[in-house]
This record gives sequence, C-alpha cells and structure tokens, in this order.
Amino acid sequence: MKLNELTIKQAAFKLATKEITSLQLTKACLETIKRHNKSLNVCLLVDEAGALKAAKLADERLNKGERGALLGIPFLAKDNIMTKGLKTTAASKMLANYIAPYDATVIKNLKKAGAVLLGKTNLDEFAHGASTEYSAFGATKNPWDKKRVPGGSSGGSAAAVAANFCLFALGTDTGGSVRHPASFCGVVGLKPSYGLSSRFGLIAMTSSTDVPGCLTKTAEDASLVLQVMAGADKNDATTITQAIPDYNQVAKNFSWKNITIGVPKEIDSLAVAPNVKKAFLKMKEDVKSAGGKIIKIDLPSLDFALAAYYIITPCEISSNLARFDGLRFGLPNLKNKKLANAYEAVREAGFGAEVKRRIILGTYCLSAGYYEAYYLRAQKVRTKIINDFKKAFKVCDFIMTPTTPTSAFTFGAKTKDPLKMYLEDYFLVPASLAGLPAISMPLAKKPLPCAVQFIAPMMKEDKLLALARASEEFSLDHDTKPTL
Amino acid sequence: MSFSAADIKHIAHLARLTLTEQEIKQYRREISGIVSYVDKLASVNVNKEEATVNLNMADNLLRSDIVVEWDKIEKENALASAPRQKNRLVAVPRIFEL
Repeated sequence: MKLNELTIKQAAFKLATKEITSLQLTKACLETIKRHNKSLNVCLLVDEAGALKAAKLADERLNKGERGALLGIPFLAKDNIMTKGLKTTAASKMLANYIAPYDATVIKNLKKAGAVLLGKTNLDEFAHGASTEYSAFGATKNPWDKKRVPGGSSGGSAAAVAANFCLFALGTDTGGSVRHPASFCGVVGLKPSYGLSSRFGLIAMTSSTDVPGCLTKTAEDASLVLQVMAGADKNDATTITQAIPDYNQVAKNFSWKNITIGVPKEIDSLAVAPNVKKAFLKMKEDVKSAGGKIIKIDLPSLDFALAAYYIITPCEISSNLARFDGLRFGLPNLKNKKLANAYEAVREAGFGAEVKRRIILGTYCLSAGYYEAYYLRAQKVRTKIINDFKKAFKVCDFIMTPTTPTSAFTFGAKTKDPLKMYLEDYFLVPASLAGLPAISMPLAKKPLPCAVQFIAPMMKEDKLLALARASEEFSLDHDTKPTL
Repeated sequence: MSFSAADIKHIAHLARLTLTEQEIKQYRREISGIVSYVDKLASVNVNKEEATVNLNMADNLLRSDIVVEWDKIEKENALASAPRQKNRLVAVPRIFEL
C-alpha cells in the first residue's frame, strides 16, 4: 500500500512507531498530486515548500517524543478557508489574487496539532453549488469517472480524499456541501453541529448555517479530525462553550441493541435511483439483523425545507457578498472615479453566473415589501423544522436517509436549470437549517459511489460517530479504488 | 411569479450588479422559476411560530473593546489586498462630490 493511501489512524501508528516519517508521507501525497492534479483539477494551489517545512517540523516533534493523532498528517483545505500567507480564492475571479492575512481558527487548530497543509482545493464559486462546475477555475472531475461531477460544493476536497491526494480534507457545509460530494466520491463527510467548530476565517456564505466539516476515508478518522476542530472560539460568538468528549472513547461502548433509527416515511414517495434504493434497503436490513430497530417517522417539514433554505441562503448571501466592493480586497476597481460605478464594474467582472443569481434572488427576498413574505416566513418555517426534528428524536436516536437521490451525474446535466441543481440538496438542508450534526457514509462504490446520511440530535457527534463507525461493517466495496 | 426586465434591472441595481441584456433575459426566466418553487412556503401555517434567528445564541456575547495587534506579515498582507493605497492607507473613490 502506498503511504498516501493510508488512513489517519494507520499513518499515525506508523509515525508513532517510527516506521515512517511525516516527510515521507507528505512527499507521497505531493507526488500523487503532481501526477494527477492536471486531469482531475482538484487543487487550486499546492504549497510544496510550506508542506515540506511543516512535515520536517512535525518529524522533529515526533522525534522529541510528542504524539498526536494528527501530528505529521498531510491534509488539504477547501479554498474558502483562510490560510495565512497563501492565496484563498473561494474559486472566484473576485479573489483570484487574494492572499489571506491570517489563518481560520480550524486551520490554526490543525497546524497546532501538527497537521501538514498541502494546499487548497476547488469548489463552486463561494461554495454556491452542488457539482463544483461553478468554479471560476474549471470543474473538478470525479475520480471514479472523469465524465462526472464530484458533487459540491466541497467537490475538490471530496475528490482529493477519494484520489488519495491527502489523508483528509477540510470542507464547509452550508446546506450539504460536505455530505453531497462525499456521497458522489465514496468518502466519509461529516457536518458537525452549528456552533461546535468555529466559523472564524471561513469566507461567509450563509452565516446562520455555515459550518466547517471534514472529508475522510473512515468514520474513525472523522472523529480524530473533529477532536481537533471542535471547541469554543472567542472570534465566533456562535460557538458553544461545552466540554468536548473523547470521540474515540465513546465509540467503544456502541451496541446496535440499544439503537432506534427513524426513516422519514416521506422518502417512499420520492424519486430515488435504483442503485441508491437497493443499497439503502440493504443497510436497513443489516441494521435490523444486527439488533438495531428501524422505525418509520414523520418528518413533514422535509417537503418544504428546501424552499425555506433557498430563501434563507440567497438572502444571507446577498448580504454577506455585499462586502465585495473592490475597495479593501478583490479585483481592482478599474479606474472608475465614481464610487457607484466602481462597485458595479468590480462586481460585474468578479462574480460568476450562479453567484449573481443568488444575489439577485436574495436581494429580491429582502427588499421592501417582500421581507415578511419571504425571509421572515422562511425563518418561521425553520422553527417548524427544528420542532419536527425534536419530535422525531423523542421516538428514535438517529434519522437515516440516502445522502443524495442519485450517484454522480455527468457534466452539464444540471447547469441549465438552477432549480434542478438545488434539488440535489433535498435530503441535506433539513439538518443544516436545524443546525444538527450529520454524516454521509459510503454504502457502495460500484458501479458508482452512493451513500447514506445519518442525522443526530444537536451536539451528539459522539453518538453519531459511534453509529457511523459501526455502520461501516455493512457497506460494500471497501477495497475498491478509483483508477486515476 | 414572473419578473419583467425592469424588475430584474431594479433588483440588480439594488445589489450593485450590472447585467447584460442576455443576463437579464436569463435571470428573468430563472428567478421566476425559483420564486415559483419557494412560493410553496405560502401554504405552510406559521401563525404560531417564532422566527429562528440564531440556533444557539441565547444572549449577546461581549468582549473588551481593545486593539489586538496583528503581526507584521498579517498587517502587510491585509494592506496589500487593497487595490489602491496612499501613505499606507486604503484609498477609495470620492464618496461626496464637492
């Protein structure tokens, strides 16, 4: 097995026993990136010098006897996460030459733990999309089939983990942007609870649902990354001050016998592709055989969650992206003497079609006379969704849905109709609107990957990760790898 | 819900976006389609619901209003991001006409 194909857990063991060094591990990742990045368009930036330096530092720490689950482990970060001294573009022309002056809190925490930053991954511009086709720097290709999208918006990060460019990658999830590409690329995608992990240094999209998340090869690896990402931050007032459990320890006490999983009955009437349906049914049967209980639950809000999301999200986008005025950062203001003209010229040149679409939609929904009918109403519907979940969690411990209704689609299949692209997030937005932790776990990888999503009550990542780890036993094609 | 070209132009102006005729045509069609979809919320009874503004912030969190120094690289990078500078200040177009 090549070093870059190791899981975090395996690599950490080899590093601790001095079988390998972080420098060897980092070089193995860099070589794979060099060989395949051109054909996959996963990385927007590779910081070879920085990575080698960080790897040497990690080796020094290891040699001095220090140990840590992420010490010396190479990773990639989605390019809407600020990385000090490195370009952070959000895959937008607007920020094509923007150099982040500081590290996001999650990056700071990972660096402190000794993780090695290899570079930055592609995404839909400003994370608006579900296919990575809206990147201003070209779409990322799915490592399982280069004619297909990797999903999105963290498509670069998911493809990077699937193609073994790194041992794990960071993404951001606003309405499914970690879980969706995880499903399409056959990797694990964790969206933590809103407020568990700091948003400071994430280029803001929808401030009320944005969370940093991780893409990994196993659920156990996700718990190792979350352990470092989680925690209160004075720079993000929405982070929650509470003791962070040892996510690995909790997983050891898991038993299917005590578990009830709810499946929303609304799913039955939805169009789910045969391969997804078959794999999902198999998971249900396997859970039952292992002693777990599967029950049908009511989640009536599933049907209007997407509509609420596509009001709330564009509204917050139109407000958050108002900061791109070409004055303090971004494109130069093209010699316009008048302020209003300067704004318009910069925003016209800097924003792509989907970004403009969302800004227009959000501006409309927030404009005088429409705010109550749209944004305020959607925020009230959001309360209904939260209450629906609370009610559901009185009768079950977790909720289970397919992550996406289909496997990866081909390029161009949904770009002509934006609403079709939005429907990709159907199963994903409810947990985002309610702030709940959710994880996408691969079900099968042949002919193409498909996945199951588990949702847990607020801040129950420990239980969610324990469940996810146990569920890996029932997934298929563990050893199947994409041919690059 | 359908949008006229004038509607789209007006909204775009509010957002400080200039659109080509082609874009106006495209967004008229697309925004109309999306708004028709999200309009399904009109049928949801929310008379008894409070709006969820924030998921987990019960109180305002306060911190001291003090200057936190950035290191030199951070300062230089932040300043270098501004397209126009004058005497280590960010230069912007005139806001008021004299």
